[in-house]
Formats: sequence, C-alpha cells, structure tokens
Amino acid sequence: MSESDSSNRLLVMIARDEATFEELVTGMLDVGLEGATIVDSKGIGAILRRDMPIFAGLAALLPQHTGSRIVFSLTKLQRIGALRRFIQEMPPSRRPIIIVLPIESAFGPDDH
Amino acid sequence: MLPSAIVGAVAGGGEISATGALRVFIGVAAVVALSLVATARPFYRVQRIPAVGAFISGGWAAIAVGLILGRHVLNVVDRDVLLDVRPLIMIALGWIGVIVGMQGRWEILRRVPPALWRWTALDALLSAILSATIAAFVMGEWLHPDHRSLDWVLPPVLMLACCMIGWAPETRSIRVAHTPKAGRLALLLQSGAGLSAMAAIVLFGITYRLTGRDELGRMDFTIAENASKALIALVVAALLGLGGRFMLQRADRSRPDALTVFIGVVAISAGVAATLRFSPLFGSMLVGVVVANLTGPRVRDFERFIMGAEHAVALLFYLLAGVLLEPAIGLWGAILVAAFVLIRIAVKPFAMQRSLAAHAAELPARSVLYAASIRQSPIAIAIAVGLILSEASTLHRRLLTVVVLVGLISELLPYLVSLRQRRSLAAAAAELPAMERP
Repeated sequence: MSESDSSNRLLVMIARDEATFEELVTGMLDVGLEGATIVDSKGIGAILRRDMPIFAGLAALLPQHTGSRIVFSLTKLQRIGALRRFIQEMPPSRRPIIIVLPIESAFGPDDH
Repeated sequence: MLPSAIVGAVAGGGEISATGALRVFIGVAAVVALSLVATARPFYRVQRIPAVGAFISGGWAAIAVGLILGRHVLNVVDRDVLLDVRPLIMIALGWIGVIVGMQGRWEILRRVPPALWRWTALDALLSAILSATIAAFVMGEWLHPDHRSLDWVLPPVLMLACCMIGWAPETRSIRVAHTPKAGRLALLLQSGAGLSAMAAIVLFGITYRLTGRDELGRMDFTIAENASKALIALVVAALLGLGGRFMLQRADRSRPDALTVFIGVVAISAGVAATLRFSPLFGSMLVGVVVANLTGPRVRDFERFIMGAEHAVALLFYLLAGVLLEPAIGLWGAILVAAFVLIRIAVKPFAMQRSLAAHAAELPARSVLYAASIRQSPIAIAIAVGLILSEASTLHRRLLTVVVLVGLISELLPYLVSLRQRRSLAAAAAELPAMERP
C-alpha cells in the first residue's frame, strides 16, 4: 500500500484534549483535509471516575465533556501521509491516536 | 507518609527483634500491595462488582489494612510517630479540601436545582441538630467529670454533627434499575453529596477553631477574632489561587511541574490554615473554590489531573484512619453508634423525599436509591482525622472509631436492600416463559 494509491481510506483520529484537537485541526487544514465528522468523546478513566466519586459529586451536574474528540474522515492515502508527517512533528505527548482503515464501499449524498 | 512513620518507629525503638523486623516487612509489604492493587487496571474491573464497589468506595478495605498495621494488631506503624509527620497529613487533608472546593465553580453552582439546595439544607439542619443533641447527652456521661464543661464537650459534639451532614456520592453499587428516572435520582444524590461535603467542611472549619484553649483549658474563641481570621483565610486563598494559576501557566503541560505547583499551593494553604487555627480541609477548600472559578488555558487540565488522584488520596487517607483508630469505645461509644445509625435511617430518606416531592414526576416512584442517602459521606472520616490532628486525645480516636462504625453499618443497610431487590428481579425473570424474558 503506497501513497500513490488514490483510493479512499477511513481515517479515525482520537484527540485526548482541547490542545491536541486544536493542533490537529490546523494540521488537517494544512494538508487539505477539509471534510471530517467530529464527535465529542471521553476516555474510560473519566467514566470510572464518574461512576465512583468519593469526595466530589457536584461536578456531575456539568455536561460531561473532557475535551476528548474523535475525528472521522474519508480521504485519500496521499493526504493521510501528509498528515502523518505533520503529526510526527508534534511533541509525542500531544499526538493524537490515529487509525487508518481500508474501505470496501461507501455510499452518501453524492451517489447518483 | 507511612514509610516515614515506619522508619521513625523503627529508629525510635533502637534495636529491633527478628519479630519486629518481620512486622515491619509485613507492614511495608501490605502498604505496597494495597497501593499496587488500587492502581492496577484489573482492580477497576473488580470494582464493577456492586459489593466490591460499595466496599472500596467506603474505604473499608484500606481502613481494615490500617487497623491491622496499627497498634492493636501488628503494631507496625506507631500512631504517635505517625502524628509527628503531621505536616504531611495536613497536605493530604488539604488535597481532599481542594478536591471538594473545586466543585464550587460558579458554572456548576448555578446549575444546582432549587430542590437540591432545599434538600441539602434540610438534611444538614436536621442531621446536625439531632446528632449534636444526642452527642451532647452522651458526652456528658462519657467524658471525665473534670471535662464535662462546654469547653470540652462542644468541639467533639460539633465534629460529630459535621460528620452526620450529607451522604455518600457513589450510587453504582446499589443501583438496581437503569432507567432515565433512576439516572436522574442518582445524579441528584451524587451532586447533593458534593454540596453537603462543602457544608460539612465549612462547619468543621468553625469547629476546629474551638479546639484552641488557654492556659486554664478553656476555649480560646471570640467571634471578632474568628471573623478577622476567616477574612485573612479568604484573602490568602484568593492570593494562592491566583498565584497557583500563574505558576500553572508557567508549568505549561508538564505534569511533574504542575504537581509541584499543586503540592506547594496545598502545603502553603494547609500551613496558613494551621497558623490561623482553621482546619486544613477548610483552608484548602477555599483555595479549591478560587482555582475552580479562575479561567486559563491550563486550569481545567489541572482540575482533571487533581480530581484523577481522588481515589489514590482517599485510599491513603483511609489507611491512615485505620492506623489512628481506638477500637475500645465502650458502652457510650456503642450507644452513639446505634443512635447515629438510627438518625441516619430516620432522617436521611425523610429529608430526601420531602425535598424532592415537587419533582416526583421526574423521579422513580420506588427505588433503592431513596435509601442511598443513609450511607455516611466519606468526608466524615477526613473530618474525624482532622479533629485528631487538632488534639490527638484518646477521646478523639474513639470518636474516629464511632464515625467509622457508623459509616460501615450505614453502608451495609442500603446495599442489603438493593441485594434483595436484585434477587427478587432475578427470581421474577426466571419465572417468565423463555419468550417473554427481556
């Protein structure tokens, strides 16, 4: 599988906090990756803390948002390669988790 | 703190025998094993079992280990030596204070429904008045005849009243139904517990000041002095909060630097509180409130980091409580335990149902969660240890035992009710024909 492969891939990126997400969006725009779906998410640590509070229960009244987000994007392999190079320049502690999946088929509003 | 105490105990004892060395080894091994188990991933899985969840969130396992390490079983950790590391214990109390204070963010407080304010106020009022009345009667009999004056009776009575305020926030271990209505009730329980913890710490802040005495053993307390020192505590908390935010920004995203800033801020706030004769819980809670209401790029990250250590700090604190326990509470202690458990059973569900009556349509008609408020708040143990820090008397250690026993018994009751409900549901499901089972 080389970067000259022009078929689409499903790109899944997990940004653990706001700062990582901010940099990730900049990187996506820099490599021309403009279409993406973003979902608010939370790690298992946040779930475990919410389940078993000891001293601080009042924070449960806040909408449970940890700053973590998942980005889904259907894109070409070339752009994924460029994004990878951008992410490798980020400090390791701020790098998002990235998963690239092959796509068997995709349907959407542009199908006729 | 424990390793220091162990080393101190060994050093203070001069030559140690082979049995003594073995005890120390067992003690250290127990602390290390407990710490490793508590922070291991599989432990989180085990906590998903309701019985284990209830056991762990109440801190009973750690208290039991502390008791075993303490004077009454292995005698590995000398509690008097432990109290010599008082500043470290104050920092641990301060950490808990900051965690509780961080809930006092305006964004959170303005979301508190009026019914929850009413519930918390009614619960605090009824619990404190009833428990203080009974405690005052018992103290009148329990204390040495020379100490049966207001100067000696008032601090422990008010401390016990603080411990009776509120309830445990954990609901997962006893929740049977997972309907939206049950979820709403669990949310109210959880958030009300947080609010009550703040109320208990404020009352304890005042109680702690009553423990100061003059040369004749009388309470050294005036309202004017108390007010002026409270004002100083508030100003110091604001300054520490602002300074903490500035230093956090300098620390950027470095966890070690952020931790250093945090420990520094907590140590100073606990130290200032001790100097002003306020509880470290109170002083640090004020800092937590200030920090929570500041905005800044690192403040929320920092908050998550501090809250993430909640379980680890609680565990060490429960261990400490176990070491400090004085199990011989006698008849009057047992009477206090029984009376407090009865107050919890009679008052807590009553205050809850009365305050939430206006929202009955949004809440389940019947749920074991209505009994959940019987369970004692974990902050009660921190408060009882706080009183020992102010004055490490045998009476205060016995009162800690009373608080621990009330917590343990009150934890068991709702759990047994939920267990019965789970069994009934399982039996009902088993009787259904296979096609009708959910």
